[in-house]
Amino acid sequence: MINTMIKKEFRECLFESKGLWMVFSTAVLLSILSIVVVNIKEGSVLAQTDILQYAMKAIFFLTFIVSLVLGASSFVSEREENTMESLLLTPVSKEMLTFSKYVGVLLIGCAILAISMPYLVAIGLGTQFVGTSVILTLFIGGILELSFVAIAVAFSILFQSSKASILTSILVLILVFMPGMMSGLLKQSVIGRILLRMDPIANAFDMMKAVLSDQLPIHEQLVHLPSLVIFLIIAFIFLCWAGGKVSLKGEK
Amino acid sequence: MIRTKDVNKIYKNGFHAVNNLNLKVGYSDIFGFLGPNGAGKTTTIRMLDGLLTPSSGEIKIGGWDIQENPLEIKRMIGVVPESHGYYSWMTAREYLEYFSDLFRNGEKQDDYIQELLENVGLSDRQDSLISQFSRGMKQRLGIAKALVNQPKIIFLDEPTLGLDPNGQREIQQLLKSINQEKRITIFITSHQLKDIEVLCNKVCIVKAGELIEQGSIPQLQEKYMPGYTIEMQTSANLNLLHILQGIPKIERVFLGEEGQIVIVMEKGREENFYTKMKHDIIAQCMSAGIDIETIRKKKLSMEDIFFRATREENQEK
Repeated sequence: MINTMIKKEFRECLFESKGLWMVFSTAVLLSILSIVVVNIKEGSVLAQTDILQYAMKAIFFLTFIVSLVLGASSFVSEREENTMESLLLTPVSKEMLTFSKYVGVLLIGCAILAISMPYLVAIGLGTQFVGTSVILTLFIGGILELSFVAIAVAFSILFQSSKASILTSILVLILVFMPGMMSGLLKQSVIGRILLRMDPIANAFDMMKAVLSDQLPIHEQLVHLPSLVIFLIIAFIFLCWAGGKVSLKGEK
Repeated sequence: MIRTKDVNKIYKNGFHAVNNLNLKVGYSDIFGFLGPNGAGKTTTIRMLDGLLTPSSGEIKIGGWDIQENPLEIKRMIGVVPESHGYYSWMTAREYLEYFSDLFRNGEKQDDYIQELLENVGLSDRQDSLISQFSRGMKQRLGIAKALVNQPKIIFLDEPTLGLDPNGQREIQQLLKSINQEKRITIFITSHQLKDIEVLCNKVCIVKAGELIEQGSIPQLQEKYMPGYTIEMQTSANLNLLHILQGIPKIERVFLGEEGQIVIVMEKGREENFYTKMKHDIIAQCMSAGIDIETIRKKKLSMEDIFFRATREENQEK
């Protein structure tokens, strides 16, 4: 039964929620990025490791944005399309329903991460960091993808309109990304430093920098992992709590 | 099959949607649940199918208490909700297979799905996308979906809403055949009172969450129009009024809305009462030299019963 449900959610994400179009757009954007980077790489003032990190950040951002949009509309769209009632009338539990939607969206996110790997390889070609950057992208991206999809699906259960659900999810993404993007500024103050230590994206970026720019071994950078894992745990708890609240509320 | 006892539903905002509802629906009945907008029909269906929890009272479906055995009841019922949504990117067959899998834990039942598609007249369109279906086709698919778990009861909330007369007739015939062939109990709400009249053997009327009538259609016809009533059209309706008032056992005679003569008779219990009275009336007309164009026994339609029941309720209040 769970296979049927996940298959349906995956297909729904692709065909109904314009997931296919989003995956295609991501591929186009990454292609453009790769072409630009490969052409300017030789003359760029940026170090090649920096270019690689920018590419990884772009992959993260695109993957999370697509996953958030799909996850945030997962339950809401069922209510907006009046299909929720039929689902709730089956013997499937709310938890199972939540899990299948979660996995369905996750699969799309994983597909985007997988699609982006050849681009990353193309960008990193000629450097010694291709393998490391692929491992880091999959590892960090995987943990963050699990977390962001959980948050987005939870919002889709709690909100009554897809607009509200998607906007709130993107707001969360921006809030979590912001410290990582402003790390230079935040390091100037104590509060900023605390924030940077807590923020999963800032830790992920620090880890990438340490491994790729400073060429430190990955295992020495595991100190950055707790914030990512804590973020994942919080996201899961939020999803489990919201999963119990799946209802018809908001159906037209 | 369905029994409710003093069921109440009060929403969080204080709105009392259902008030002490007592229903009794028998095995293989087609039960019409009527009421004006906001009478609590959808709330009642949602309580009966387990989507809403009653504030108080007891609901038993097939002998199971709905609060204690929600899963057993979900397996026993099929529902066609009001404004039913569909996965438009699926084909009709995929849609039925999906719900079949959810009910049967992945166990395939291809033959039964084929049978359902044939029963609802969609076998030739089974591989078409639902987005290409007309409203009537979607509604038939919804009924097939409600049957996918081989239920003992199906609930239909406004199944003919928005359908053209052909579509309405198709749904009526489909429901009748489901009831006759599969012996499935049907619980239906509709504003199309003609549907109810054609389909249902029992009805109940609710208003503002309260039950105001329950019984078979003949019982309600008898209640709201005791005795026999004859409607006739003649060459001289006005003259005939005085003549007919003289006939024994005629309670009153008046001109109807369309100018026809309406004759209300006393309640007669003896055999062939109606036939004897009809003969007496015809004889009086013939002796007065009045030609009869039409003469027929008047029966209350479901629409008349509905309006009278809801109007009387208003007057009592």
